[in-house]
Amino acid sequence: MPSPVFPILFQIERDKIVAPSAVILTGRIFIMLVGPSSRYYISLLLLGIASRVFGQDDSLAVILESELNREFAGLKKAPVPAYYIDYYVDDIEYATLNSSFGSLIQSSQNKNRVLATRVRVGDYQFDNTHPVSLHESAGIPPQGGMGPVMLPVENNRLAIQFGLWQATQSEYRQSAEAYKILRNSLARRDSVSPRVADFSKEPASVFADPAAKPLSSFFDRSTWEEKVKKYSAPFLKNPDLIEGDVSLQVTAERKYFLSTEGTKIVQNFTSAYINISGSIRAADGDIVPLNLSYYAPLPSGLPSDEKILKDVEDMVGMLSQLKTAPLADPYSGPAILLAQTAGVFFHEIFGHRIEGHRLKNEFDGQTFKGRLNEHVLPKTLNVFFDPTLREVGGKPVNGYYRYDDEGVKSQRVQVVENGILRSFLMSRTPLDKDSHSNGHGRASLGASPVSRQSNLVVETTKAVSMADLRKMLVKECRKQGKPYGYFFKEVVGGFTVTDRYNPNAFNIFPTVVYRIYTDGRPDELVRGVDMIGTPLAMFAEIQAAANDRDTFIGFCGAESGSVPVSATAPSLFVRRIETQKKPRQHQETTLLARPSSDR
Amino acid sequence: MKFKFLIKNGLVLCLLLANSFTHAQESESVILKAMKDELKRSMSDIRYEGHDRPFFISYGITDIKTFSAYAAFGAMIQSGEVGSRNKSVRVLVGDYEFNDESLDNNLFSDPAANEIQLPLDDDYFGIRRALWTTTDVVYKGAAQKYKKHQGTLKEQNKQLKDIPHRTFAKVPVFQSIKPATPYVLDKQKWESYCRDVSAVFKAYPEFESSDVMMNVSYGSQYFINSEGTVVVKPYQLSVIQCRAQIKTTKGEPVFENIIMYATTPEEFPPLNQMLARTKELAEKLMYLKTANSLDEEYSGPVLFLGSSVAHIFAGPLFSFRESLVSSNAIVNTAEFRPEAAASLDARIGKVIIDNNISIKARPLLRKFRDNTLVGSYEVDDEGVVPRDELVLVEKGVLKDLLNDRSLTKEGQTANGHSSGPAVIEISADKTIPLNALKATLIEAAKKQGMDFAIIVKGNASLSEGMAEVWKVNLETGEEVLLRSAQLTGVSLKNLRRIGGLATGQQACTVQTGDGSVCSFIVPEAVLLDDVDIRPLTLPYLENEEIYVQNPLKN
Repeated sequence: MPSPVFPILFQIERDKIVAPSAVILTGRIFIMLVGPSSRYYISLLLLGIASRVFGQDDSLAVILESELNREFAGLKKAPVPAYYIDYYVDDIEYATLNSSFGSLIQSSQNKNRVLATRVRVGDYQFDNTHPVSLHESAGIPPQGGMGPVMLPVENNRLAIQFGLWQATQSEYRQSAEAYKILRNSLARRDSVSPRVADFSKEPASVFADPAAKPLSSFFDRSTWEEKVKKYSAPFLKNPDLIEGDVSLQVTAERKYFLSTEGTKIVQNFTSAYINISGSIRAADGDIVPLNLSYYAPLPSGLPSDEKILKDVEDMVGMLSQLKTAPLADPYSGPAILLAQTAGVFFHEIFGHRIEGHRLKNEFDGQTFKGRLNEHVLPKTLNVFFDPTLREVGGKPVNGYYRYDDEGVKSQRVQVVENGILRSFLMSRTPLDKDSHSNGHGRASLGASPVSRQSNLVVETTKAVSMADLRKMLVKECRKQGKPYGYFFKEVVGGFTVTDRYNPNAFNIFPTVVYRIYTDGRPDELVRGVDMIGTPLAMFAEIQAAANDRDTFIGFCGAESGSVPVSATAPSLFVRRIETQKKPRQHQETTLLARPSSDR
Repeated sequence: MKFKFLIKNGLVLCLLLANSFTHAQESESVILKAMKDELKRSMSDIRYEGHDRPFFISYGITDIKTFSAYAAFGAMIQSGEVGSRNKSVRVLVGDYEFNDESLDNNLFSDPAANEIQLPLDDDYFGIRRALWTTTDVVYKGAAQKYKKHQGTLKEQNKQLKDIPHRTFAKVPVFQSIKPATPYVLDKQKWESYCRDVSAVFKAYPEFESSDVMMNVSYGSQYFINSEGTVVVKPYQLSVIQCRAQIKTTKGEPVFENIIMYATTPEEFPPLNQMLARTKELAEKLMYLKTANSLDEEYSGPVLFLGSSVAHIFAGPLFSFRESLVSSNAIVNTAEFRPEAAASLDARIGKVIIDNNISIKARPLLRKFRDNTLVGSYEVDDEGVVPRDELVLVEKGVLKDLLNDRSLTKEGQTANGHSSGPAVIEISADKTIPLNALKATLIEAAKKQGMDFAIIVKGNASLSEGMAEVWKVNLETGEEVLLRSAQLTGVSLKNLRRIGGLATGQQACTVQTGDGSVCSFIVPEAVLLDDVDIRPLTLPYLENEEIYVQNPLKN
């Protein structure tokens, strides 16, 4: 990673997992700047791929295939010939509804068709994506050509063809330019042909979902406008609340992926996310936020009104408690991470470090390079990633896909077995001459896929009850001479840094945190706590896992954009964690009472 | 725009919310009632310990729908409509002569964490809540600032009259409730219009890009203040833009566009006329692909024709440094470039342009011949009714400036122009027929020893300094179109000596430097004696190889 540039006002983070609600709640837009081919993006729900033989009625697929063949026929004969081209088109229909304190404040619905294309020149062994050192990267144009291109939403052959042609030509020019620079650079170094290929050869896949159903077939906007208003209405009950927002995002996508290797995939995706954000002004003026989020593939799969309203009422109750909760001081000592928090914890400290492409990147810390078949976690833990799962423990998970964003069939990857590292998450960027993708090449639309997480599942072979986990915590606190340990109950997200130019640290953002006292006092709710640490030290501190399990649903942002991910884990007891104070946001109390019908 | 707080609900394309117009009248009454009730409560109850109470509060709400269509090569790329409501809240603490805005140039507040957006539906308490949170933050900021200003005055041990300051004008109370009449936008029709116009370019495979974009906004604007002013007025603005780009044989980019403003899209040219104009644009670009460009910088007489006349007046008359809109900036030595606030205020009573020219603001004028004057309005965004005619320049002498309610100089009055210039009429005492003007141009060029003369014709890009330039043979009068060139440094100085103005008049709507849409009534042509034009140079890639044929050429 190059010396990072830190634009004022923008938070720059290596990678991050956040509950969708986090972005909505804080109003922050995370802009990421990562690696030598740094790319800025604002994440939304744009991404994808898909698969079977195209039906003749799918005229978009026919147009894409025809133009892909025509382009390849021309560009493979160019002086710097292309050896691979892919087209990735996201045909997306989406609706966004927002309410605040019972009022509808946004309602929109739209349809887009977005194209991203990649053209590779050279050959599989050495192409325009060949990794270079920082000083060699100067002048190399980034991949992405024109970036994502809007295509007509109508199947007008000529207009679509023109968009494809223009994007392909632009991408080719940049790829060819990059290739020439890389070749010259290699010649200067007097190197022999690189040992590890830049792009792995994978079997072509052909798959097509049936024609997608339009958004209106499963989403009634006016009904949901009333629902989102209803869900945010309970926030009116507490006059101290300064935020009470509900957001619903529903998408229907048909994602096309075609490559000159013969891969033709069309996949349908649908999703429905509800994010609920509430904030209260504490007695000292600090703003204390809480979040709730729900995910289902279809709006009909979201929890019932009763369940959501009950959760909102509970959130309002918890916010009232947080209003007077004490601010916590920095701490180092034992802690319990409830299952969702443990999921985010694993995603950050472990998941990002087994993303294979990082081990090929000389800017990266390469935490686990050369450690295959070694113990990296406690012997009682197994970790796998499985994008073929639609549910975990009956809960829908959003890291599902049949084919990844490089057209490779998704598969379960057992990365840790009884604490031993067995595998990495792989895209088509090989680590050695024999390595292949295991279906984890992912990206948001327009970014180049790299190995990314999908549905993370952490399991234990030696589960204990929560009560025992608590006893262990108390015992360890006494041993360390601590009057209390921490219990991290709810979390909104986190981030970690994996490069070697910055401290390899992680930061988890808990929202509901208790102190568990060793002297038998009742647990005490506190506020203003962030969990921090360094990964390698942390692996050794994991002492036990409980017999429960829960899943965190979120979006992960890194160099290839924002992708939906889940993290399932049991609750964990950790011998030592560190906390630091959260940044404070101050809000004066309002001078007049909030207008409402009960006044 | 001096509102201390302005929040815009995000504009995101979406489909039309059903049931939007049938209850228009009812919805307006809910909005208005909520505004009035919250304003009344704020004025009577709001108190900030240790600070003064407000003496003035105003609320504005813009309730509109915006339809956007974007097409290329006969296909719709994106189309949708979104409803949005924006609010503005202004709270003043102190009095009309000295208040929180008196000594500061930063008149905007940052939104607080408890900010609540306006509801899209007629939710009485929701609207009040949105106004309540903003009033709270704006008032607190104003009260603190007023206290600080009082301290500043005390520290400097000066009388208010001795330091530059901003006052708030007293104006008559005005009440007018004229909500928008129900307007049903035929989206399919206008999508089809955009498709058809964009399809013209299918016959031009050499173009690098082309597209057609249409934006239509319609709805109502609400304004009330604590003085008793209540205004509800319709809001309508439509824009269509048709763009295309080609490369010369060397690879240099050349582009052309058509941009038109109207209140509703029904005022755009009928489809057949628009197709003809688009084809004309396309043919012009094809010609420009191989046309000559200006060889060297030209400095001499230039005749402006068509819409370029409005642009050549709009630029210097409404620029950042010199503007017929009065500057509200307070000269403050602590701020960077205090001289930027100089504007034209100091030049009232002095000659600023050719003494043949007079300029009037005519904000109430709705039509000029058959053309709707899009910039026209009856009452400005502060609820002030402008005069039917305001003489700004008389025979070259600056007489007055356009003002809102914030006054910074002696002699200024609030004249109802917080929403911008509206309609500006530029007239001349002495005019000559158009063809005679061309002869005058040639004569002037010869007199200055030029090899040729220049005519600049209608070009929407003139606002960006790019001009459609025609080279005029001084012997034959023949005109040859050159590739676009760049006008440099056109300022009021260029208007000091005008070579002549055409007898006929025309209307044209342009966007001025501050972004407001203004209609101009101007002569059909104007001859400026001394204008600098230089060749336009844009970055380009030479000899770009094409390995796959453009599909439009198949």
